[in-house]
Amino acid sequence: MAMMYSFFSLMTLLIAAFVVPLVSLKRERYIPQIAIASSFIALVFAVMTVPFVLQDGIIINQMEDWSAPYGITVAVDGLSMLLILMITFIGFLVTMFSFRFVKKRRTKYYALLMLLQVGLLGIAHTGDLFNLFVFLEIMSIASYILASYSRNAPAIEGALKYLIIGSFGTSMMLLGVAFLYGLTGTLNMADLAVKVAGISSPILPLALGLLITGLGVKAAIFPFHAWKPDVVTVMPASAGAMFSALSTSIGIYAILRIVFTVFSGSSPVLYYILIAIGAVTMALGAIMALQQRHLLRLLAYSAISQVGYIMIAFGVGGFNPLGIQAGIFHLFNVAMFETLLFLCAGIIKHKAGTYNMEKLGGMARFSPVVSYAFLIGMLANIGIPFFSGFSSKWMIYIVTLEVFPILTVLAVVVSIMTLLYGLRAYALVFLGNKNVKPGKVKRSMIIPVLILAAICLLFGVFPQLGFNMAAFVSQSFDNAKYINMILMG
Amino acid sequence: MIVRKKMGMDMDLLELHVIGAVFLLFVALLALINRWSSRYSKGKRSDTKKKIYAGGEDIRPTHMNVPQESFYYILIRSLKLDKFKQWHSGDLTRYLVWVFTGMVLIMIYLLFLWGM
Repeated sequence: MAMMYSFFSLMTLLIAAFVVPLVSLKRERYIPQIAIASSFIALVFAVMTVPFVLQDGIIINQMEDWSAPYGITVAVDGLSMLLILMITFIGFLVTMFSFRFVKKRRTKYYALLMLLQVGLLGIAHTGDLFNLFVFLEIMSIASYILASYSRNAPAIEGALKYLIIGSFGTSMMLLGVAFLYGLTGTLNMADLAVKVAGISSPILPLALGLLITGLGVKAAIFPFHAWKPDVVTVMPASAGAMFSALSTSIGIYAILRIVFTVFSGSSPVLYYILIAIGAVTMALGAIMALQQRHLLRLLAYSAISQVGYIMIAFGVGGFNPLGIQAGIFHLFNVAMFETLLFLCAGIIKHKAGTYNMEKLGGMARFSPVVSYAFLIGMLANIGIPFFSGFSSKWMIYIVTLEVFPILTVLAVVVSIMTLLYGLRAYALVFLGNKNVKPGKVKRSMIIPVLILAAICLLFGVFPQLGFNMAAFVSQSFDNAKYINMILMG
Repeated sequence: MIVRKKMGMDMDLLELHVIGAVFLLFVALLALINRWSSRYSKGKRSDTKKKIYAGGEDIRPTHMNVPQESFYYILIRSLKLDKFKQWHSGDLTRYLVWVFTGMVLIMIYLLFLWGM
């Protein structure tokens, strides 16, 4: 019998998030160890689920044996499995990184970090729209508080901005969910897909527009992206790494579930909107990254730009299935190299005391390992051969060339812009004559960075791994199978 | 060498390897040019020559720092890219206008092209 061990990942982190404050009353110094152990157990549970998903394609759990669409459905297919693995893996590395990185208010930090993962994992597991909203709120509330972690004026301002814009987004999403429920009488995504296909009403595009707005805010796609650099820069870089890479991924995942599962095949108009938003997001992110002097802001805009590539790939995937695979592969790569770059930036701030690239320089001589890791991450980001971003970007070029050649031209131009700001950032921080002596970097901070750098190289040198993974995960976009498995058992 | 056709994917892996090989050859060529050019360089050897940005010239370290904002001055100013920076001013009201306008545009698009 297929076992959904990955749900225990969520439960482990949820319990640990409440255990941590209790333990801190007596033994605060054990908090990081508890968090690392919980994250590792969550990762193990996630990995244990993989064979079942590989075997059955999708595993389903109906809560309390109430069958769909009446009960709460938890479903893990290839796409959600990939997200669950990414969340638990990056979660574990970030928690390990935080061990020596975060020294103040550890109880709150680790509890919130785990609640953030709980929200992300819940979104990846759920099979209905209302629980998706609930977990999105858990994720959002944890990240609002994490944004204000530093307790200084910029942190409070960033957190308030995100709180207001994020609340607007989730309100719009709830409104969209309410419209869909009013129209169809169900919230189960598989059941919604069946019912939506038989309805013709102007309320449907209205509900979809509200859902895209709500989830677009979380995914930081144009024109809902502006909050992201302001928020990511005030978070601790470790939390920022997880938040930036994973909240974006989960936002895209939720948009995909809505567009490809609930509204599957309704109209090619839906794919055009993904392409249009993706193209503007990709270009605008790169244009803004070119003009930054703050390293984290540059990385945040770079992340926004990469989300554009992913959106384009999935939009084109509506016309050519290879686009779906390209999008999946790039989604995975972006999460990995983005986390790597953010963690390297965290080390730089930790040791040099600033993110301002004007004040940094010459760090390669004192921290060669961090320098190489950052370079690997940036080369993957640019899409240089033998680094992970290249293969997925190449797939995007190929697939857009077949469908909309103008998008290929735009994607290549944006890649050149990525090269400009990426190498400039590396040169200014790590090369040059300034003597910024960062001191010795702790092993618990170096190991996660090295693991992520190794992954960027592994998927660059052996792109077959990524292609095979993307090919398997793309089977999740077989809507008929998803609906049948959930509604028929 | 078309691979993974059984998985519905017609991506040519050989294509990627050829690009990778061409890239490596390009890097090797650059390294060779660098080696030859340094052999025939007439400049004096000095510590600063080995530093980044020196490019064979004796430049004092204080003169080597590149101003951030004007690093891609021509690109940014000629294409008016700095306009986009003004739009990302950090002003919450402006951000909310973006969000609201975006939502309205998406809805209009969906209503007119799909809903009707």
